[in-house]
Amino acid sequence: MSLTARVIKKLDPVPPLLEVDVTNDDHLRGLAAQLGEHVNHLDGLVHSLAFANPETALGGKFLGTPWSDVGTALQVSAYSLASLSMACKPLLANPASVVGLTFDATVSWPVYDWMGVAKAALESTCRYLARYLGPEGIRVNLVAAGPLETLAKRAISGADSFNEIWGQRAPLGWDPKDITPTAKAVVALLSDFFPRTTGEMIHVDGGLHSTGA
Amino acid sequence: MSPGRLSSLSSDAAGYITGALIPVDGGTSAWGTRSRRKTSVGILEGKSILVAGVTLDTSIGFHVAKIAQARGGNGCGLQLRQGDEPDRPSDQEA
Repeated sequence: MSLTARVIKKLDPVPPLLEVDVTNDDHLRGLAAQLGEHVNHLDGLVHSLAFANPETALGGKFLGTPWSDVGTALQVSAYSLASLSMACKPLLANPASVVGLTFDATVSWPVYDWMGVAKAALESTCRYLARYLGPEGIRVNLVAAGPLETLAKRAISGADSFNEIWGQRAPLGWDPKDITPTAKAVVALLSDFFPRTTGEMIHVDGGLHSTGA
Repeated sequence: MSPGRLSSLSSDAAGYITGALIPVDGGTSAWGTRSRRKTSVGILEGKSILVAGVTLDTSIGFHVAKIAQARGGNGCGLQLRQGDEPDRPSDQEA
């Protein structure tokens, strides 16, 4: 808790900080009550989390990864979009917006391995959530960002190759240290500017996805 | 069903987006429905947002929270205990 507690002090005003283990059903069950101490409803939920064991599930180990590590990657990175949305649902307004982050998993990538599979599951989960929550005015969308210099990327052996790919192919160019374009797209999806868009994945990747080579 | 607005695509909010086909179709391309509200300069004015995955100040979650606040939003940060210790990848992923 201490690291995040320090980091959010850079925000003004400093928001309340809650701690939840998305693999713990009791934590998820208690989340709405915890949130209710700070807000009376939610207009938006941002899901920006994922995990895969970098020793076994990333970096070229795809063919030998045990199910236990695959299962963890899927639970934390994909299933949690559904479980967290449902944990927050008692507070979600109509309309409301859920936005997640992915790394386009419609194709395979070097070294991304089981995180790529987990992201494909996340993308499908987004579409099913959109189907089931749409009638209650809840939109569910993803932003597919290009490679960004986050803690997560640094843990993936060989992930620097993404920067080379983006450097060669992204029509608009790509700065992996600039998180702002991705964050702005998330904020746009949280806003009223996409009132009839759900189950969608918006690329913020300098246009790389639109190129064949 | 009224058409949605895509004003943000012609704004700075769409930096780095090109070659995109974005359905504004009520979710029929993936199946779904409904919604609408007012707009303002602060596009999140009065909205309460929960950001799950705020870790370091280099995390996507942190930047979303910062920009959301600048655009009028308020809300909570959610630290995900599973997988967000500094030595474990957790927030975005590549």
